Amino acid sequence: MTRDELARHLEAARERVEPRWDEAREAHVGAGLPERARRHRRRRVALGAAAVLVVSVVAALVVSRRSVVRVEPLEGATVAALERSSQLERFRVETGGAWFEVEPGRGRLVRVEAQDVVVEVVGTRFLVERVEARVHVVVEHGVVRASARGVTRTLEAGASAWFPEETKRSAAGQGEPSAPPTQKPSPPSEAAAEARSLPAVPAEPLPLEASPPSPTPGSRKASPVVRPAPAQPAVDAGAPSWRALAQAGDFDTAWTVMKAAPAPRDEPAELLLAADVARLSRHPEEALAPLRRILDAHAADPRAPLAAFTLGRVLLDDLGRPREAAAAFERARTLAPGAPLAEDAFARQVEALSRAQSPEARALAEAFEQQYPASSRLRAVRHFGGLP
Amino acid sequence: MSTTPHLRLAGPPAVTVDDFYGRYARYVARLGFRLLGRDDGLDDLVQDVFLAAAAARVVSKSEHELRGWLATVTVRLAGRVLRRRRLARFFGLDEGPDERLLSSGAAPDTVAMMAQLYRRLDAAPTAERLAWTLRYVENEPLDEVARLCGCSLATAKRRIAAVQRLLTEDDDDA
Repeated sequence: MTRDELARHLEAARERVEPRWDEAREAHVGAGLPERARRHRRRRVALGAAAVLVVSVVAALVVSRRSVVRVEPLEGATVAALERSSQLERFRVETGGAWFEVEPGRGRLVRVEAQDVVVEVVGTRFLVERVEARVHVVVEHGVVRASARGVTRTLEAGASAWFPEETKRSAAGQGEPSAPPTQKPSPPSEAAAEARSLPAVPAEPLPLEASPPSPTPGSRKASPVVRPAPAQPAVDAGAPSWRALAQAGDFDTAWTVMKAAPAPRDEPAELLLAADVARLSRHPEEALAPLRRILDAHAADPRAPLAAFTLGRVLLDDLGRPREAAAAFERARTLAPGAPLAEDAFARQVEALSRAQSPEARALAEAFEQQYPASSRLRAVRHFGGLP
Repeated sequence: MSTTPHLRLAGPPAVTVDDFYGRYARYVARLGFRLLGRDDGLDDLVQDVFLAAAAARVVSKSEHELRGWLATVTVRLAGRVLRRRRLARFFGLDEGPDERLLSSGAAPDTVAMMAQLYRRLDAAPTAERLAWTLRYVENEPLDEVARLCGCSLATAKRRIAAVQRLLTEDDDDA
């Protein structure tokens, strides 16, 4: 196009380029404004939804690549991360011990090795600690499978075990724990206590555990285990408090001293410790009161679900009161509905109802199957619920 | 046209979209048509300009300010339509100006001339095309072109010159 042509074009354009815009068209376009406004709103909503979807997918991808394990090494401990894939995360406890908290429902197996012990979990919180030539495993919630030298043990919430197992307990009740002490000789510092305590719990003594979850009275030969961080040191070295004795694993002496001592403080950690002293010294009936006290007065405490679960176990396994046990397990589920403990509690509730010959067992077993179709406890639940 | 509450404009004195539309629809349609160079898409452009006015809750201004504001919105939205067209053309989904779509009651040879002009403009980048159209078809002064395009005066000049070169390259070659 030459400059002359362009000039002519422009002149024509200025004069002639006009739309066919008459009143009828103006009215028609104006009438369409509300509908177009609605279309704009729908498009904005759709774009917003698409943006949310994209963000969710990206977030899910990021989260799926994130570790499913929170590791809290004990003071001076060394933990090596050996492998992380979409299927497996593998750690090795080189020295000392560490708490491992595994997010449930992420479908990734977590394996922790310590010496020749291998602990495998899907969703739980547990401690693996090397103590001299042995390895100590404590499960706070969920279920873990621990194996060593061809021997495999399944540990439920609240259970602990030593590898290799030691069946001989020297002079039971004489205050000499057969397991090596898990504490350092000197009293732990406040910082150490804090580092060892649960994330949601202030630096208080942690509940004491010993032996597998359902020991029968008289057969309690498993080595006692002291969970870390005693916050209540013995007042008198010559006359140790029941707390110190319990933490050293001497539950029989702790029981004797506790009976003569003032009542335990009204704190969840202390009440849990008192309950453990009672049940592990073969006084399960006496364990009920402190556990019930936690549920009555400290239901919002993060340890309350564990207290309810423990109460259910004592009632079912030690006292043979399945109907009350079922109520306790149900309480544990209510207090921790999304936690791995809820699945365990649900399964044990079905078992308790079955043992109480309650017709509810079947319906609950069906509900369990619906809620946890991939549960490792499903077979047992179906058995207790009488499902085909 | 029915007045809907969500289309009511804010500010004292309140101006409804109906009023606003009745006063400026023709102005927006004319400007939009010259920027687009075609009739298709013009109705949507006009509606979008007035919806943008409603969303912005325009307060009544002077006649001159309101026209200026509407022109700015029209240029911005026309630019969006033109960019979409370029993309469609890239994928072979837009065949360019159609003489039948260049309306007006002009004589056929004038319409053909306009079609040729806008076909050449289609080859120019959108921002440059808008600046050139405002300057030479709308006869806007340079500073107003820069304001409507949201760019500096120097940029506006550069854009206009680029299209001018594109349109007269035959002459330059000769």
